[in-house]
Amino acid sequence: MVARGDTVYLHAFGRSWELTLVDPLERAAGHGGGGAHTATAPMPGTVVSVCVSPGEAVRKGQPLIVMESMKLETAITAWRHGTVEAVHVGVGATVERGAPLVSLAAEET
Amino acid sequence: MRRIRSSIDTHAAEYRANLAHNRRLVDEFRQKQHAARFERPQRDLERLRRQGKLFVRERLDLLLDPGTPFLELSSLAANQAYGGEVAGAALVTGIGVVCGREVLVHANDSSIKGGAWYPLGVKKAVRALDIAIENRLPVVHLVDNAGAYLPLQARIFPDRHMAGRIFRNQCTLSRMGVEQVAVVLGHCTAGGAYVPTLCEYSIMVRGTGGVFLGGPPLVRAATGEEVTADELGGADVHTRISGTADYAVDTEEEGIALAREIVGTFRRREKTPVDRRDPEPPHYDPAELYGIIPRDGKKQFDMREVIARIVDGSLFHEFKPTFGVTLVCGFAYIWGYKVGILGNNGVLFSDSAQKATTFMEICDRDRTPLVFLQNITGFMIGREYEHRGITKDGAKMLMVQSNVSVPKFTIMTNGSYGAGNYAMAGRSYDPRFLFSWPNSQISVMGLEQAARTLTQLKVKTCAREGRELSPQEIEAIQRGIREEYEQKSGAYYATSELWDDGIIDPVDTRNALGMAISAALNAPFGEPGLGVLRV
Repeated sequence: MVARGDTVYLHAFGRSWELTLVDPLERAAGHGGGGAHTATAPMPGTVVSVCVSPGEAVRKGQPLIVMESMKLETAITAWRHGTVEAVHVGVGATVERGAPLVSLAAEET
Repeated sequence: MRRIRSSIDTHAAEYRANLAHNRRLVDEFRQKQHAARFERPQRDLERLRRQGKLFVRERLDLLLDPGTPFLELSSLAANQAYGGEVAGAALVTGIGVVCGREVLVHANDSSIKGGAWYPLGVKKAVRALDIAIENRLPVVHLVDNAGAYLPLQARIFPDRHMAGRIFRNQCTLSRMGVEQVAVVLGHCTAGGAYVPTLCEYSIMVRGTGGVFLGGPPLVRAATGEEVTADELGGADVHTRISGTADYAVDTEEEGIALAREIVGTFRRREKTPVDRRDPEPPHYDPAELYGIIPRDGKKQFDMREVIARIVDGSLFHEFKPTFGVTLVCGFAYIWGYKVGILGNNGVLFSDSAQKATTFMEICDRDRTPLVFLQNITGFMIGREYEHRGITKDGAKMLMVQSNVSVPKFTIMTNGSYGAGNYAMAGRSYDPRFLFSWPNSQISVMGLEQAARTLTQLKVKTCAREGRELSPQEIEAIQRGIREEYEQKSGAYYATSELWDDGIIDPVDTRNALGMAISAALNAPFGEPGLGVLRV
């Protein structure tokens, strides 16, 4: 028996198995909140850079916009895979909390 | 608990650039540390040889159990004071293993200024003995110091946390039942004479060791009596006649071996029971931390990526993951010890502070030590946030953080500014140990804001005096302020002034925390207060 990370390789009775751990929580977890359409500013601040343009395909976790607030640059990242539908702000814009930043096209189901 | 899923791309240009930058910072730190520990002018080392004395690092090698780790504290104390000439503030302190027991070591470094007490040296010694008190660690003193550095006596002698505190702390340790042993390897004069004398066990080396309230020159000046150091307070005088010390030995090697034998007779302490399991290394390589810490302090990084490279198996249970998301709270194991971790992922908002308050109450009730990973620019400001009670929520966090009865440990990973420093167990809040990464910055507000505020003040003062400043003059003022501010908010200044217990290589964070937690468990925890409030 050999364990490597989350995978266990088992050799017995002339056969071999490869068992991979699946976290029950992860398997059961829903994707609540992932269906939202538009990313909004989590706090007031200034837009430092816009990383995407409309029509662009984005992957979950990819930065969309970087904003600066309280001496800190915060990247607003894609919350799911998708296509950018609209960018609502430009570089240098001052935004209030809750201001729309980037919208992703509705998911095909 | 679940394994943290890292989203770091180790091939990305950003990662590589961070890696190169942080490796350079760590190399610089290692060089400074090596110089402070080992590099001495030849004549000073020759002087020690002539006196028949060993270098402090050789003494430590003889004292500590071979192959065991030594957690050195404040190795770069005083690196930016006294013209950089008093490396380590002329003493070595740390936690090590002697005859299988965790002990605190307090050793003068007589290769520097005869091991004299400088203001920061006194601060370092007092801090070391505070650590011994808080964590109930027996102390081994290797005493070899020339006494107070007289030109600076006003900053060494009179105040509450100055030299007298060393002896007061020794007395406190004794009352608490924590043993101390001293090996006298040089002359201990005046106040310094109390260090070995207040220990339960005192060993003196014949010839080089001496203990006296007033040394031979002072005696001659005061009373005219002519007496040699050995006749006045040598090893045989004190172990045969006065009883001020207990054992006389012929060599340093013999003295240190005897100290080991004595520590071996100390009773073994039961450690405070906490939740433990078999340790395992992190799933993700801690060396990847170099690629994660940004080159620009303003750039944010996900503290979960840091946690994944510190904790056992990179396993973490995150508490309230969708609430107050600028503060990550959760449980993990470090070297098998369960801890509650609080790490900054941005500015503190009301909800992040509320989450922290509840989380710390849970940890306190469940006897779970707390680890704070600081990267904090402060609490959110502005009308909306004041109306929602940001000050009130920050006060809750401070109230609970200050009063928890479990030990706290703080790591400065990047920025530590303003009230955020307080809320996240900064130095004033008595974390048992506080370590800084070489890249870290600490100040009451950010550099830009401070430079602007201070310059405006200066311009206003001049205007009141009827003097109009030219743009060049304003520029020059701003530059001056900026330079000083920059220097004083860096990790090297912080550690020079003992605002922490030392700079550590980020990769060593896991080991430093493991030793710190282990040391902390020598002291019982206090009683927790009320039940957990869902604030």
